Amino acid sequence: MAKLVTPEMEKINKRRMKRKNGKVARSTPMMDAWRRLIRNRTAVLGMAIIIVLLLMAVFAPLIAPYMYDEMDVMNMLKGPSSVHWFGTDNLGRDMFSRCVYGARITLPIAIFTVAVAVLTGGTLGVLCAYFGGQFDMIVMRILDVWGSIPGLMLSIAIVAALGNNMYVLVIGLSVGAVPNMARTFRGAIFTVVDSDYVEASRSIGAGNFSIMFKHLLPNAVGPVILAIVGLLGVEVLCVSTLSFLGVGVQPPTPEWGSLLSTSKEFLNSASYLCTFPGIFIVLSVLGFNLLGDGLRDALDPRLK
Amino acid sequence: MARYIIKRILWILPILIGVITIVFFISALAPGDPAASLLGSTATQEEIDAMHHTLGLDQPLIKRWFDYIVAVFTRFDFGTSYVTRQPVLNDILVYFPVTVKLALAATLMGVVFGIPLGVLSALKQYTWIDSVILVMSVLFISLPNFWLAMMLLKVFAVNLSWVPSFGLDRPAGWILPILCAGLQSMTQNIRITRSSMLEVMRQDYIRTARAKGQKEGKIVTKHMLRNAMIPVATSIGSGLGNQLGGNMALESVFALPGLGNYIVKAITAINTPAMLGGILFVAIVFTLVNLCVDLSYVAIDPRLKTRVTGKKLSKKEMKKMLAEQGAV
Repeated sequence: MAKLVTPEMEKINKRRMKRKNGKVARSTPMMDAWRRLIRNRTAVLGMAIIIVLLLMAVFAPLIAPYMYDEMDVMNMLKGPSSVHWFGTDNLGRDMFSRCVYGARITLPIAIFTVAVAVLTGGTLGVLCAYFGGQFDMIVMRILDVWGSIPGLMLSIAIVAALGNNMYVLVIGLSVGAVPNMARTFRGAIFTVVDSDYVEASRSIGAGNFSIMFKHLLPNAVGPVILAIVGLLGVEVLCVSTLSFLGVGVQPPTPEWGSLLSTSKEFLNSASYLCTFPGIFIVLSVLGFNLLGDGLRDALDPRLK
Repeated sequence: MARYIIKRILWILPILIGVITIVFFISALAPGDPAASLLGSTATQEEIDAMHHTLGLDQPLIKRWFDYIVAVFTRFDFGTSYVTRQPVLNDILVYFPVTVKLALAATLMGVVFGIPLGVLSALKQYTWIDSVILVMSVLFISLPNFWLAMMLLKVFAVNLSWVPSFGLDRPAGWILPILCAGLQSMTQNIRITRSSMLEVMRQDYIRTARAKGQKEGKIVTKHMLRNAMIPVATSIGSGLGNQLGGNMALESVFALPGLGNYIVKAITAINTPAMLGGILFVAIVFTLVNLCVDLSYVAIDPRLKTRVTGKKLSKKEMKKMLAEQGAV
């Protein structure tokens, strides 16, 4: 088959060849999107914030000057100082260390929640869009019912019923997020399910599974990635909201929301205790949101 | 059109039965014996058994589930709260108005400030005004509203004493809760209005309007806004639904006697009927709001109307279109 090369494409190809010392750089829509993403300052800022927070979680014992549960009865409710950067709480525990260790609780819960929601909701959505018909109808009706309960409320009910531990928290939160995830995946796949390449791969004998996950999903990846990054920010908020309400992670564990919940009583006398954990929540949500906005511009450059 | 509306309204019934079923069985998993906790640690086994009988807990789960559904649909009976010993519906009707007022006021604030700012931001794209509005909106959307509430309480109630830190007997007590809840819906509206406006501004009919010499002001109000408002209208509706069901933490910070607070308290006190009734009530309101949103969506957008009611499109095309719009 003859290749159609416009002068414009020729120019782009020449530029690429020059850059890669004679080797033609491969270019896919995804790589173009990546290039646009790393040129986008807000997206890079978002990514940087998230990477710093993740590193903080990984290296918490090296960063935190004290153990998160180390009590110092001589220094209770002391304001921020050079010894205790964020001050100490009512038991004399170093707030900075507690916030740093908090990253080890909040972020993994949020990330695992998103993973579970994407695996279950996403698979449902892909199956619905691909098979359509009765199957789609039934699953969507079930999701309608499921989605009629406000997500956060459903999560709270599940966590309250099944007990407080991280696994239950992840399950409870992801159950609240599944309906939306499934709808997003379904909507994204719907736009590509009638494409010719689906027909083509079916005609050469590709199975349902490989069509769905090798052809459909990669071509509908834009809205899917946006939904996942957006959900990460939302879930950080949900984890801390649940713990703040006393349903999620329980007080001795330094989760950011539960730190806020215990600090609430000291709002009048030691407001710094309420300030710092909140800043960490804001930073992580902000990081995901900035990254999400940058990704949207990179994946859909029409609007930029 | 009428057929579509009737279909949507009839569909509410199975949704509610489904919601009851989900929440009922989740609450049945809850640990702890409500009878034992009601009677205290001194209760004998006989007393606990008697209490089980009065609460109906000695019946099989399936029968309780069935009775509950029948009671809800025939007598609007959501059960009796273990704590107040009042019908749950009475409790809910006491707490719900606060939640509704907060949600409506926040949504109003979101519309009044959010849409103009979103339009401004889109019209001034690439200028500092746009950047400021965008930075502001991404910052506000990342704030946990309960934390914002605590910070504002500290500054305006504790330090400056401009507003009372709790209590709704004075109108000033509403200011901070509405501000915190409203910022969220404002941000949502800014972002959706902006992106919808940007999409519309690039359409051919805008160029046509300019080409025929239409005044710029009229282009914005008549050609851009009317088309750009369709997604915004849906977002306002779903935002209202979220406000009704998602302000639990905010209500807890301000100690507002709202439904969210009521449900959280019921959950932590293993007050199953109150929790079940509360969540069910929120789900009913949520479903009704969403129904209104979907119907108004069809009413606002004449293109959608012909697609839902007319036979101009094939079934496949319609399904695809609805899926793209997220309406199914």
